[in-house]
Amino acid sequence: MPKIKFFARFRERIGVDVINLDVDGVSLKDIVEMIARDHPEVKEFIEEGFLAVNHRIVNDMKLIVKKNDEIAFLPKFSGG
Amino acid sequence: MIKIQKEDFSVEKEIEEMKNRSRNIGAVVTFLGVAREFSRGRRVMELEYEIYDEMAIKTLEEIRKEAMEKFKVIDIFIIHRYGRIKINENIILIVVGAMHRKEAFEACMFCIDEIKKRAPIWKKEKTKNGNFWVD
Repeated sequence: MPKIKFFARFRERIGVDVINLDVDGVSLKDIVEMIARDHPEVKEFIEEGFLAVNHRIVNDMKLIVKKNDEIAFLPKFSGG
Repeated sequence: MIKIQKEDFSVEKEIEEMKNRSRNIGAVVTFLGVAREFSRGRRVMELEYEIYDEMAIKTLEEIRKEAMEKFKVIDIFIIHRYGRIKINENIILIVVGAMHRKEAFEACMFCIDEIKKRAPIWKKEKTKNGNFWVD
């Protein structure tokens, strides 16, 4: 099942670091909708930060997520 | 060489290591990022860094390779710490070894600029008035 990770400010706001969803072959948009049922703030996360699938930033919400994919909600970076 | 680690590093040891990488190294340029006490008008007591390890390692390796190809330098080391970091402690070290100074400076600048833009790393500033994520 896809693993959905949250980092830094997003992790603290949502109160969890990982969510596992029992789905396969659905779009990124669908995934966001599913999480938003319990955690509506994820819709704001999309506006405020980035989404990564398998460690790559993606912008296409129609992207199909497979069962072993790792999705991450990332706030804007502040490293270095 | 890319490292993400909790513990501090030795700048001198890494410079020595870089010098030993090749007999063609004529210039070593380093960037050392250090925890600063005043930030955005607030007095910071401590920093805390969070890193998305798997993605950060890939991103730092990409940046390193891009810089090595673009500026034709011999090697680049990047070390970034995570966890709690006190004021004046080291945060990040970039060491560039090259034949000449110009490309070493340019590659070093490129690396730190790209890391700030692209690496999934987050800083939290801890102050007397609360803790704030910087982003």
